[in-house]
Amino acid sequence: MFSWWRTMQESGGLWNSIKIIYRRSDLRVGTLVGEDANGNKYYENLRYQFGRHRFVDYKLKEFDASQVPPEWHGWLHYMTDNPPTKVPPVPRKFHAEHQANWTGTTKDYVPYSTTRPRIQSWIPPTNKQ
Amino acid sequence: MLARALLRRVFLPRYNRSLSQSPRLLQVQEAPKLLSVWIDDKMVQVEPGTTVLQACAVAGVEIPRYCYHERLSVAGNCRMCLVEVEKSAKPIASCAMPVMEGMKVHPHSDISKRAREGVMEFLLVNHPLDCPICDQGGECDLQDQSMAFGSDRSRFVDNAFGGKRAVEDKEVGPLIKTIMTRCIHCTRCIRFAGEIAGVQDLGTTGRGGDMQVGTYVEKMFKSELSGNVIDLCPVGALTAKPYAFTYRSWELRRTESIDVLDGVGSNIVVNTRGEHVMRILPRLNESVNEEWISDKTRFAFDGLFAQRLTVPLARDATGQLRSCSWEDVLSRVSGKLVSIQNPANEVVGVAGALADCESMVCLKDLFNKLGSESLYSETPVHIGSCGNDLRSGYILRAGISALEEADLILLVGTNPRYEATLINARIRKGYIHNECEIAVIGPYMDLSYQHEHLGDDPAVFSGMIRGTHPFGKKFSRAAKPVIIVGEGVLARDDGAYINNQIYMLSRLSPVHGSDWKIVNYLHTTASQVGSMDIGYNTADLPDLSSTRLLYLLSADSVDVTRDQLPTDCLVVYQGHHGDKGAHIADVILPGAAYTEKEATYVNTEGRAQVTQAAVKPPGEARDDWSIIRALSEYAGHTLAYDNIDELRERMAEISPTLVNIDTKQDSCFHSLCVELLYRTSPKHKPYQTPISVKLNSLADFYMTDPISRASKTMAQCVQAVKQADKN
Repeated sequence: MFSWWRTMQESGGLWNSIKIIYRRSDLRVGTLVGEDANGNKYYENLRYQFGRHRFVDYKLKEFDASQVPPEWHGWLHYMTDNPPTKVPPVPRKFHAEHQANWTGTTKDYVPYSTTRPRIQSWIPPTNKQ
Repeated sequence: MLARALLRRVFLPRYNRSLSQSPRLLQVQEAPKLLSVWIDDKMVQVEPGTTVLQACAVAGVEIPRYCYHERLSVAGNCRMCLVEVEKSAKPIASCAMPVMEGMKVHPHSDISKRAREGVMEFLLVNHPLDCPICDQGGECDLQDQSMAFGSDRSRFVDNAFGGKRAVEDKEVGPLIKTIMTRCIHCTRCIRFAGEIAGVQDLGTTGRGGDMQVGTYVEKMFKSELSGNVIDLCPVGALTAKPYAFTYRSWELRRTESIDVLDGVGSNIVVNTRGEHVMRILPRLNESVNEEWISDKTRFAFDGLFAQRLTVPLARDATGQLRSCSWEDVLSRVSGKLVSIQNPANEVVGVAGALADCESMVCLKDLFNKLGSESLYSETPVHIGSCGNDLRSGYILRAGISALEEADLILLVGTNPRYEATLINARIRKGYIHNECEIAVIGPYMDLSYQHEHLGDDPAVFSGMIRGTHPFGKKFSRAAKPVIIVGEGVLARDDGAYINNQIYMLSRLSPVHGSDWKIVNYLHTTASQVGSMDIGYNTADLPDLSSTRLLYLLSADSVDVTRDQLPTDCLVVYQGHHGDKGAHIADVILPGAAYTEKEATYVNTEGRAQVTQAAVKPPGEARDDWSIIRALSEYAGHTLAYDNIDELRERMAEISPTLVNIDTKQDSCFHSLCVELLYRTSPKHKPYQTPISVKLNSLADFYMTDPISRASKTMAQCVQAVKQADKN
């Protein structure tokens, strides 16, 4: 069992620990494995139960699992033991830039009608001035 | 004097007698002897001349029929109404057979049933089985009656299609689609065209199996009432062309409403599917439109889908109209309203043809609160000093249904065929059934019935009054004369003088001063009578050079250009179409059209009727009265009503006629109106300009307001009529 006292100390004291628990509902410490382009930090701590020993500390307060880029996704989900810091991904020309899921934000995708609206609005004549 | 009045009452026809008269006078007309008829061993008593079919209806038995229609002459050619009558060798056609004393009818006997089955079988032998793709499907008399009265099995063996009768389709214009193979030769359309529309275009060629209904040579069915043959057709031979294949009748939701495209106020049923108007059909109202509507009423609704104002618009610094929020436009208009120092002269409101009574009351209340009385009706009416104060001085007093009882009708400056189509149908009904004579003062016109043309010189009245003109004598002999004064007179500058002459002519009649109403006014827009009831000014618009805010309430025919207005004048347009009014406006407040709001309109006979909202206003558009109510709150002069019921209470304070829905209230103080006009009317001679009418051709009829001007169907009709006139 990992000492909660040491965890709290390594997390930066009592106040910081409370803040982290408030935001993430979880308090864990580990060794920093790497950091992705968005500033999310990836940790590993083998003292935790297997399958819970790799975790991510998101950069943004409004975090979401889709903010993890694909190169870190494999390591974080135990598909591979090679983080991109150790084995950098091979760049391909079809690779698109990673984007987080926009559902629930103002940028989300809303299906729209592709048919012409039945009621046509009047278009005011453009000004000649 | 009393004796004369009594004599007059005695010699007046039955219509004028009321129950208040002495019983001695009531005994003059004896009740006709009733005949006893047995229907299925049940005795009913009916008047002589009743047909067997009508007697069955009295007994509660409905006889199937295709060719018979209550408002058309009896043809008796479909044979569907065959019934067995005792002591008759063969079943008789009940629609054409008058009842006789002691007749015993068996509409449910085996012979009657077999006769119907046989007729149904013959009809179906040559009727195509295309019900799944037929627009009439679901509301087809042939479908219904073959289910109810047809045989339960088929003897039709020509499954290899050896030769069902097939007929080439006819091209009769942009409104009616013909699939003549479906025709069962009931000839309802032919009788309608000849008897009610007064257009002898349709007829039959050939006999027996070769009979065809058509126009002989290919031509347009040129009538303003042509759409009614679609309703009359018991099968799908005549269907609507503009909206063919767009709906099935069982998908539609029906909302009973009122038409506002002319001054008649025809009763309609708006058929909608989801948030779209799919079609408009007539609704029965014996006092207004019977069961007909004009083609504009029926087909102009596709104008509701084009050129709509769906968002508030305001001109920006460069002079370009841009969409913005309701808050922006309301605060801009109210800011201007509040900043005006002298509202009495600087704020002017104009109500247009499609403005409803609710919004006109709101606008008037708001302007009065600000201190302005400058509210004008779009169409000027110059009828002399009795003005708008006495209602009997500006409405069709006799009422539309009474026109068919008249024996002499004088039309002055109006062509009712195009200005008020259903009123013309009434006059024609009187002409056909009551031998009514019609005379016209105005340009030459085709009214669909014979009439005497008395020229277009406004001085013709003085000859009639002096007795030198022969029509004056004819008029003074008529028992029920009617004078219908149209916009061609009302809009003239010397309208008051002519109006007074018309009253002097009406005094020649012996029924002058009785219950029979001689002088009637025909207005061509739905808002006109309502605006005069509310108290809008019907004089010409004043000089607008000092106007700082011009409020156009659905006013699209108003003759105002930006040059007449000062540069700092704010023109506000409230309405539902981007028409003439919207083009000169600085701020546009999108309102609702007549299918989208519950609103009161008063027709030309003074009957207040309410439209119902069949669909929602598109986009950001709102109910018209609520826009003005919101504006009043922004301007700090909040109107004292928050919902439509409170607003109706306010309308009742202004005029109880506005809330007396579906009732034609008798107008009183008419003698006062006549007297006032006589004493104060100008004594100058009328101008030399001949009396004109507003609409005098079918091509003019189709497009008269923002809705019909935006309608593609109406544009096609205008093109088709012009093409047909050229050929």
